[in-house]
Amino acid sequence: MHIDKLNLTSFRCCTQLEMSPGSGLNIIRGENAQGKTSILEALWLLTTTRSLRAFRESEMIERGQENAHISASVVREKMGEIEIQVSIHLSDRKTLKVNGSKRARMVDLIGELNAVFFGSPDMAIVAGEPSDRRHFMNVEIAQISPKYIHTFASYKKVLEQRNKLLRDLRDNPRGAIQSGLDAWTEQLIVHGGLLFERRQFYLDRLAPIADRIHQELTDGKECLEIRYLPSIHFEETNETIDDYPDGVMEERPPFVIDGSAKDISLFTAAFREQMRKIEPDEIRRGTTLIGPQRDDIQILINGKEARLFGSQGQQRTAALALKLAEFKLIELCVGEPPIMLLDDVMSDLDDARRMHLLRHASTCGQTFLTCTAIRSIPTEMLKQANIWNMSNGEISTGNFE
Amino acid sequence: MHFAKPLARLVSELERLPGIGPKSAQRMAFHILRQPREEAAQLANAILQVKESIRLCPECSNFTDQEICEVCSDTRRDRAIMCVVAETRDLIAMEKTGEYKGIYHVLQGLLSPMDNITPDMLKIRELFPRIMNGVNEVILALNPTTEGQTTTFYLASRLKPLGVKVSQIAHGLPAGGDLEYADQATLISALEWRREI
Ligand SMILES: [Zn+2]
Repeated sequence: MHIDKLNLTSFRCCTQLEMSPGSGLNIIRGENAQGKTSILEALWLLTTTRSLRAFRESEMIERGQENAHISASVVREKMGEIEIQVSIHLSDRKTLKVNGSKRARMVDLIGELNAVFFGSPDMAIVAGEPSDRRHFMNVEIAQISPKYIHTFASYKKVLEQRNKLLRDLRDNPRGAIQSGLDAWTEQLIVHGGLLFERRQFYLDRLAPIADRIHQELTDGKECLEIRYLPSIHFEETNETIDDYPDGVMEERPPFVIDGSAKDISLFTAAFREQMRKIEPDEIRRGTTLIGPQRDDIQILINGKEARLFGSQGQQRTAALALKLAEFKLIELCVGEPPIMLLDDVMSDLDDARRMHLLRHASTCGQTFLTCTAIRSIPTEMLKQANIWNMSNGEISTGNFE
Repeated sequence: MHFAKPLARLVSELERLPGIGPKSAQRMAFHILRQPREEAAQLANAILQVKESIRLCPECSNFTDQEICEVCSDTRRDRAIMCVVAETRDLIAMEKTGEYKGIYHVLQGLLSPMDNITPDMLKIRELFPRIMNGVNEVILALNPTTEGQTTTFYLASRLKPLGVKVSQIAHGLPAGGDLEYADQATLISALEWRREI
């Protein structure tokens, strides 16, 4: 898939911006605070409905304006061209139009455009907090499984309600059954079971791809293991997912997106059993103690925990491998490559990793890359790339000299 | 510069109404201020009258201005089937279909600890003696929200041991709707609630 046309109106510092990006590598060059990242942010918002960095959505509206608009025509190999428009309003919720007709729910945007974003903060996937790694899982799975998004939203609401009830029961002890705790627990289990299952399903498929890429990045010197660490204990199945060589993979896509109901029941049963045991503790502590909100991913390089024993270079290589694996997995699931958004990451990578990423970017679908200087990019690649200059919220075509 | 005290008081009272923010409250307050005295009195009287004349039906907890509500006093109703709804407005929506001939029970809300609503705050205690009194089928018609689903589960798990048939209404596509334009959540739900034909 690729973006054929992008229009921004009153978005951040871009009063009026129109660009027709090329289908390969698009390099957006400019000094800091000129609006380079706004283009990536706009494309990310079309992918996820969320801003990359805004604390309040109104921050994305140009000062003095009431509304900002992002519109793009997305060309999909199988479905043809789709026009998406998202408008951000100062005093109202965002609105969405697809092919000119208004959609009631913003969340229906997800799946129209797929993207992988890679920026400096992503270097922390390996060494950062468990919440960084959960965020990585959520963003990836949400793009390929709409049901995951809806279940995740319901789970969050139930969790909030249940935590409030547990706090009340702690501060003001009375019968848990009469308070309806069992009903909130059951809702948590039903939604949580599905989240556990989806995370296991996708990480099982991401792991061999990430390992293969990591080996390529390290000339076969390092292997990468990705393990899902759900916050509940459950019996492992004997099924193993082989790393199909590319040719074999190609015959199989798209993946069956829905996990079998049997797998989910395995997780819900384990979750229910462990919730039952831990409930007295939860009432005493006044909060939910287990569930997908406490999951993590274990990342091992040559069998050692990368978070603790990896060098910064190894951790960044693993982060890059995870991102490129995410790209591949989305491609396998949706049947065509997503777009790639690279935000000023060149300086965070050493020469070899940078070249690998650039080779990927210039051969695998459409990429948007922001940078302050292009001297780290080889001339042959620059010759084939579309180069854009960004200054003061305005974009113009540039060249590589 | 502040509002004169009586005006400020009206604004702050209006602000407490659901869905009314400070801006709307001010607009309403100024509107009332400009109204002729009789119109303002009509509004004030309507508010007082609703408080004085409307009460909960002692049987089904529906709002009514009668001793017993219209549905409960209708002898043609089938008292073996009961439909449980959250609010009086849901009951009215069901009645408009003209398809349902059983009786109702209005919970007057849904479970929501965030709003301090636990089972004892709802008309749940009143439900059980009514069911033991000849009801053999209960239809739970609560919203497909987190709160509605949890309340449905709460009631179902306590009603089933009584040997009564319990069902919940289907969630899915609106009739006459276009599959292509249905939102994802509705489509997913419609798939889950599919039935064999
Ligand atoms: Zn009644």
